[in-house]
Amino acid sequence: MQRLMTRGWMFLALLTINTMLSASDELPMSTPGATTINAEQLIELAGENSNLIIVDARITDDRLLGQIAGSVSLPDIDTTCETLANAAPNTADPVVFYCNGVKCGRSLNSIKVAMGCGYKNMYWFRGGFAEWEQKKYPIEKE
Amino acid sequence: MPARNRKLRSISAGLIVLLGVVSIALAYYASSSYFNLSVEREQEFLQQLVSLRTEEKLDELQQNQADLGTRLQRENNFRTAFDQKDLVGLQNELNKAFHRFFVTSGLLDLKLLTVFDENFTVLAQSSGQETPLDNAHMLSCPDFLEASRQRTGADRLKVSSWRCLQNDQSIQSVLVPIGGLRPLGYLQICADPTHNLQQLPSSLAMPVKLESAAGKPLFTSPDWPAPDISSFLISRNQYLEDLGNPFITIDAAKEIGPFIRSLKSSRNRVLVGSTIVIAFTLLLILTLLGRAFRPLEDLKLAAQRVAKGEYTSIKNFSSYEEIATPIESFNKMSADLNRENHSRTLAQQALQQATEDAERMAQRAFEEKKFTQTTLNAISDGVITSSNDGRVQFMNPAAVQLTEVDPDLAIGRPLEEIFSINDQSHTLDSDSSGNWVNRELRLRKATGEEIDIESSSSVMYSPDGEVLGTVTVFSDVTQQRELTRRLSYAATHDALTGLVNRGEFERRLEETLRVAYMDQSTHTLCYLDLDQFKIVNDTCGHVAGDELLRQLTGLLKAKVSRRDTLGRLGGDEFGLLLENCPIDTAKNVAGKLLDAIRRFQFQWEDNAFTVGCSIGIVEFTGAGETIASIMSAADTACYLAKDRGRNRIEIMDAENPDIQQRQGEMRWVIDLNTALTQDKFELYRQRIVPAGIDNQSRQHFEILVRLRNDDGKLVNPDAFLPAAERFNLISKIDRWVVQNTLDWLKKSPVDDDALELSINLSGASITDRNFLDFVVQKIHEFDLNPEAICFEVTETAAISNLARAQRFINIVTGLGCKFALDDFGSGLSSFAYLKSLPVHYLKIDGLFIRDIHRDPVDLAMVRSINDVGHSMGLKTVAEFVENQKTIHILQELGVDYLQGYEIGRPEPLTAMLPPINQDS
Repeated sequence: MQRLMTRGWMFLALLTINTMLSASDELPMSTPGATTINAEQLIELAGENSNLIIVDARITDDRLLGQIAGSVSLPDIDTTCETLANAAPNTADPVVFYCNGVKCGRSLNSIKVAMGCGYKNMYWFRGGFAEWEQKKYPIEKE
Repeated sequence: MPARNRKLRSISAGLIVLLGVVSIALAYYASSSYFNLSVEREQEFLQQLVSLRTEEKLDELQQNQADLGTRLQRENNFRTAFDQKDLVGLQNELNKAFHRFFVTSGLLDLKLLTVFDENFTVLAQSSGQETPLDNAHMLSCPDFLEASRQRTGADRLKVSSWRCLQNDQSIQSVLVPIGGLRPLGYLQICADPTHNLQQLPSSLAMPVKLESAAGKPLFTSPDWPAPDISSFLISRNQYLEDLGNPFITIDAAKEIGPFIRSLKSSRNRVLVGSTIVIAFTLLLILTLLGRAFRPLEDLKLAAQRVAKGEYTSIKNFSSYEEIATPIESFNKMSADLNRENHSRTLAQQALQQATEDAERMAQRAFEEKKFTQTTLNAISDGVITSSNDGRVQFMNPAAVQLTEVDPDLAIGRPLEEIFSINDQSHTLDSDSSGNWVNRELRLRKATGEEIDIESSSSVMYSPDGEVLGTVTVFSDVTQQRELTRRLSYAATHDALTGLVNRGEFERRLEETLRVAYMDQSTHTLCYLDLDQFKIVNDTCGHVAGDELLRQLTGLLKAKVSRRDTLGRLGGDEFGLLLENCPIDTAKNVAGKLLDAIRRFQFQWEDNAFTVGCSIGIVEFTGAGETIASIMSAADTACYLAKDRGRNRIEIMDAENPDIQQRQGEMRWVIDLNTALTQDKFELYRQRIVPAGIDNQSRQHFEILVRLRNDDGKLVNPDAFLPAAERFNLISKIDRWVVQNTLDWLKKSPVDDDALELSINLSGASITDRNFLDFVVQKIHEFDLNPEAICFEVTETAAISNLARAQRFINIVTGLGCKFALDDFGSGLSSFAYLKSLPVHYLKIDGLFIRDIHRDPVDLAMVRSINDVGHSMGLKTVAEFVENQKTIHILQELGVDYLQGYEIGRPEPLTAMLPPINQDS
């Protein structure tokens, strides 16, 4: 009986979370296989790791608006273990994924693929380009 | 007094005018305040607008500076020089940058470009001059650079901006990091914002003037207004640099001439309007004051006149209540004085008049008393007056005569003794006021005799309301009341039987129906119709009929309870209304009545008659019935009882199919008329055979008529003949029978010499002269052997119209036809009649034949009829022969012919005729 009730509560909790997510359309706060970071943590990370690779998961058209300096363009739809290997040859390399912002799921898609390819040191810049631009950090334009 | 009056008026007027002036001044002040406030608001708005547009321009400039920095560091030459710390190369790149798009397109007025390493050491600098700067670098906005240098972490990556003054020059400085996410150095872009702010006149759509912090004019719009033009609103906005010192001053001039003019004109309109309103108000108040004062003037003049003895009043004065009240009071006072003066004179005149009147009245009173006494003596109504203690004071001669008391002894005695009312419910003092009018009472005379009187009484009062006594007036209405009683009785009762008549019966039925509507109680109505009453009436005359009804009524009355209503509804029809009586009880009562009527024997002279009765019963409960519907239902039920053989009771039951079918007698009229026009009647025949040996070779049949109804069933004449008689259709049916019988006889293959057909005729037909003509004509027309035709008519029908019957029989037998007297014996008519009726057959009533084998009285009757018939040369026929025993008895008695079920049942006329039994 108690087990049943516990299950019931879990189900209810899941349902509530699900409802909240769909209500705001926002992405979850974290994703398995990657550490969630903000703009400042990204800059700090870049200072600490000279071999940090920043992957821009947006489609190429979006990059015309600007990009984080030093990022590599690899749209999620083109992301495979092969294309990833071109950007980050070593699966132990620290890799940051970003896309447009908190409602853009492309970076998460890329992270899933990268997890399958065995990348272990991944970061997810959840706020993406929108947060970067809003905080007035330098933007590169093609 | 006039001086004071004028002063009051002047002061009021002066105060009011002063108030007006103050009001106008207030209006002027209010409109001026509004004017100033509007101008202030306009100025505030202008300042905000200039500030907003200036911020826009400076932000735009900052964006352009940042873009320049970003683009510059992306260029490969610059990047290579920077990475390799090639300071000369960097210097070249910076110099080139001065001539780039941003500068040439006029997006910004670049003043200084400086490249720093990550520790803010100057690597290269350009101010747009061809000759490079020497080692002494010019540091633009040093405080800004110091603050930027001290930034840590991610903040160092941010693009920042600063405003400062450099040698009285306004500078906007923007710092852009070099090297992406890992800053390796910085690029400072300094520009003069004056260049960008010069676009303000076009974005604000008004002239603008820029001044440096030190007050040096930097830019002035060509259309900047001359200082003496007042129709411009000048807004001065001062901007501060980031350290808080003056940075730049921006003046904007807005043309507000039309706005000021519109404000001024509306202010003037308000002033003029309010002045007019105030002036009008003043005028109004002054007029009203004048009106208020005028009546007071009148009051003064009137008072002066009253003082002289002229009692005047003020007629037309102002309607203000405050003024009107004292004037009204004055008028009243004046009038009072006037009246008082008059009344003295009048009092003297009145005294004289009163003396004369008193004399005249005394004379009139004497005359009136005399007149009253004469009147009282003359009238036929009794009049008694009594004193207030109830003792008789006066009686007129009529009263003495009606009460039969001795008038000398009566005076002074109590009224109750003299006027003795024999009615406990009407005591003399029953009325609270002591008066009564037209009360119907019974008066006991002194002799003990009682008479009906109508009496009125009224109490007499003295002019001061004291009771003087009573006047009682009464008259003898004994005869009048007796007449009323008789008339009422006659109107509601049947004179012959003393029963209630139809009108009264229906009234009581209506009463009962009303009760039933209210409490849904169950009541019953019986409709009684005597059978064979007509025979008594026809044979013995109306006197006998009346006597029969009287005797029957006595019989019926004894059988019903007092609370039930027995009424005579028509000639021999009675109604019995049983209140609160269910149908079963009613059936019992009706059964008793029917039994009593059947047992009843009516003796008249030497004859004894029995009568029967058909009774219809209907129950009603107030469920939507009407008097007409109840009466009609009872009548229908009664009719059905007759239809089913008389001497019986039928209950009106809506579910009885026979009732439904026959509801309403009128139905028969329709049915019979339809039957006549559509030939729905059918002819049947019943054999009549000789009782003994007869040499007659003819076969003898009685023709019977049947009605084929809509269901295809045959209906016996018992059912429709009563209705046919009632609606005078019987003669038509007789004609149909005669016509069709003769027709059949003519067409029949059987020789008419071998047949004899008896046709029944009704009483109505034989008395109808036209019918006789019809018969004679038909017999000629068909050219038949008349001996083949015999007509039958009932004994009662023949006797009740003896003369006509004789004539009919004489003529028809004269043609050669035979004639039979039907149902002989039932009418108990005298045999003497037979002598006057030249008939051939005597058909003995079947009622005597049916029980002849066990009833000696019937046997004796038949024997005597048979003997009389034979002695008169007539052939006798016995009907209702239903068994062999009867045949034997009849043969022994010597009856000539037999007819009945034992002999032969009725069969269609058109069926094949049996062969003639030559032996029989």
